[in-house]
Amino acid sequence: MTKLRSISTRAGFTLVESVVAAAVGTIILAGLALGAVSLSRSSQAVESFSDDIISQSRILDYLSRDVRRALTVAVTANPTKLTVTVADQYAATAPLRTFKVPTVSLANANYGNTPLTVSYYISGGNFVRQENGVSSIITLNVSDFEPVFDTSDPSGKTVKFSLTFMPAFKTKSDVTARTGTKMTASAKVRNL
Amino acid sequence: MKNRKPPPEGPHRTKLGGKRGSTLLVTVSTIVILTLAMAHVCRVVTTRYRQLAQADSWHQSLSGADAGAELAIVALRSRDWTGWQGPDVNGVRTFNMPALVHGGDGNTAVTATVQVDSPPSFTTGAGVFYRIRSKGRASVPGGGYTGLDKYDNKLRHLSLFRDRDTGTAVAGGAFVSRAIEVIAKPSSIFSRALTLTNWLTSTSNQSIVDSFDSEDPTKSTNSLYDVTKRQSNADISMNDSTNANFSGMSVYGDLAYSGPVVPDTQGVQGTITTPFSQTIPPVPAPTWTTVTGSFGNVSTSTTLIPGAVGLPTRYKMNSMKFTNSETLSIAAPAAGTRGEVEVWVTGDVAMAGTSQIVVPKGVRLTIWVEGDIKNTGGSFVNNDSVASSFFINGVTPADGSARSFSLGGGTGAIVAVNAPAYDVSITGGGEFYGGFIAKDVSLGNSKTSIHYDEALGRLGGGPDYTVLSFAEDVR
Repeated sequence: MTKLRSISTRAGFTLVESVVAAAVGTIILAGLALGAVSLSRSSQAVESFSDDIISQSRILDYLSRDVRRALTVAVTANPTKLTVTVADQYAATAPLRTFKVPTVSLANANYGNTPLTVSYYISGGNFVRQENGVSSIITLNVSDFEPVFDTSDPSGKTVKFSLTFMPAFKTKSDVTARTGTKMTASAKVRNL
Repeated sequence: MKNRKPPPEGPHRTKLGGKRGSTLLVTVSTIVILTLAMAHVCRVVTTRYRQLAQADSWHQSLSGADAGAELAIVALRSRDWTGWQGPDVNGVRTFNMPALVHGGDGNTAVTATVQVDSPPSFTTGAGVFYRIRSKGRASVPGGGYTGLDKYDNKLRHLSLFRDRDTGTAVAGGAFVSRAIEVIAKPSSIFSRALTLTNWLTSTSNQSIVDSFDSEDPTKSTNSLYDVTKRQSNADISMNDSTNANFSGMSVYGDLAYSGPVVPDTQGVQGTITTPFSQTIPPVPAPTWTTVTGSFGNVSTSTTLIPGAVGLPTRYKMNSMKFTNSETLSIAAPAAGTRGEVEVWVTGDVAMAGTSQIVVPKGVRLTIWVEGDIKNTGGSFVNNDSVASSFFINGVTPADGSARSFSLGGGTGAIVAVNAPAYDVSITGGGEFYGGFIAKDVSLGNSKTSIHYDEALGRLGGGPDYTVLSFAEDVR
């Protein structure tokens, strides 16, 4: 009796029970794994999206800053490029960041006859700022760059620019996803 | 009792303890995993919050710098340096703008330091230019941490621990500053057909305000107005529209005003905007200590001799009252040269009958009048044919008393009137070529045409100031 009781307390599962339990366990584990992967991807996508939006804002800040202080502005195609010239206002001698004294007339203030040329364009998915031939990447993931003169400003001094990026985990064919990220800003040239 | 099985111990207890340990391990592991996940989320959120807050502060510091530059422009225009320090030994005036405080998250205060000076090379034949350097400063919330984005840091140049300008440790927390340099040029205040402290009233729908350009042959003929080349840049501004009424008169330009809605503006061809405000500089009396000739009360025909351009002859009179056919004339300059005359009338100017003030070809006449101006039939004859050769300046009374400038007889004139304290009334109609700056302008029942000469808007020499160039310190 003692032996039988002992066997009884150590009774196992039947094969069917084990198989069902294994199946249920597998399904639960698979669900958890899928959920974890999905959550991870979602987290990455959100993180990446917010990074890209911040990067877009930064590009617009760069563009606004340089357009605002530009002497001339030009928009060219193939590749789309915004080129501005800005005054080389810094004195050549120390201390650093000291402005020259410009030559003034009613027509303009001239800081020198060699203004700097600054261009913005996309190269290999990166957004590039080039100053006097020296390029620097200012953000990584940009799909479209559209600079145009704002026709609603009759003075012709306002430049509009828009940018899009491709959200993470989206394919290039997903146009809606890309155009949904469009961010636009404008700046008025103060020196024209 | 001997066969009694001892209570389980040893391995059995160890087994129970292992189960409890596993549970604890699982619990601790879960808490650790959740904590790590939460820490990651906090890190991600905090980093982006910092980046956005820093970007916001960066933008606000430019707003502060712009506000400082605008204050400097206002001071230049009004000649009112109340609240400014200096000028110091280098001729630099400084203004520390009080903090613009606002509520909300992130940065809550913006300040600016503005400096205005005029290097020696800024004094030119076109007037005195000024250099305005304005540095806006906004605090950076979130402590001395970067946003962990090198591209962002490269743009924004935050002063987290050391002031990037002075190299000293920051006091009062991290901040960001942006410095701009604005060059202000002296410019004409005749940038519109009518610039009014108060309002314009017209009782005739036949009156016209339009524009031409005496320096552009496509917009004038022989420097004169040509209706076939009419332009639509005859703008009107009113700081107070309380008694304004356009009565359907035609305005080939824009209207900007503050105050009640202006009635009957259907004849305004351009845009109508409100509110509007412009500081109109007062007209000071001359401060000459020496004059070419001094007169008492002038009531007979008088001839003045012009000086060279930039070296005008200067005449002072107590008053000028012509009742019949008297003439104030100016001798013609030597052939091939231009001349310049300045007249200061400390009292009234009154012209009646067929009296005249005649500006010969090749001469610029500028008259300052401290009293009332009344022309009931006389003529302002400008043979130099452009308004920039005949200025009438109505001096702004120091005591704020009223002044009037009445024009009757319908003769018109080629003249630029700068009289921001004067009530101007044109009762007999006529054709005026130039521009008006006045307290208010009243046009009577007869058709009055004011043809604004756009060339007046390009004059240098002040007394107004506008922005010539803009540069930002981006290093």
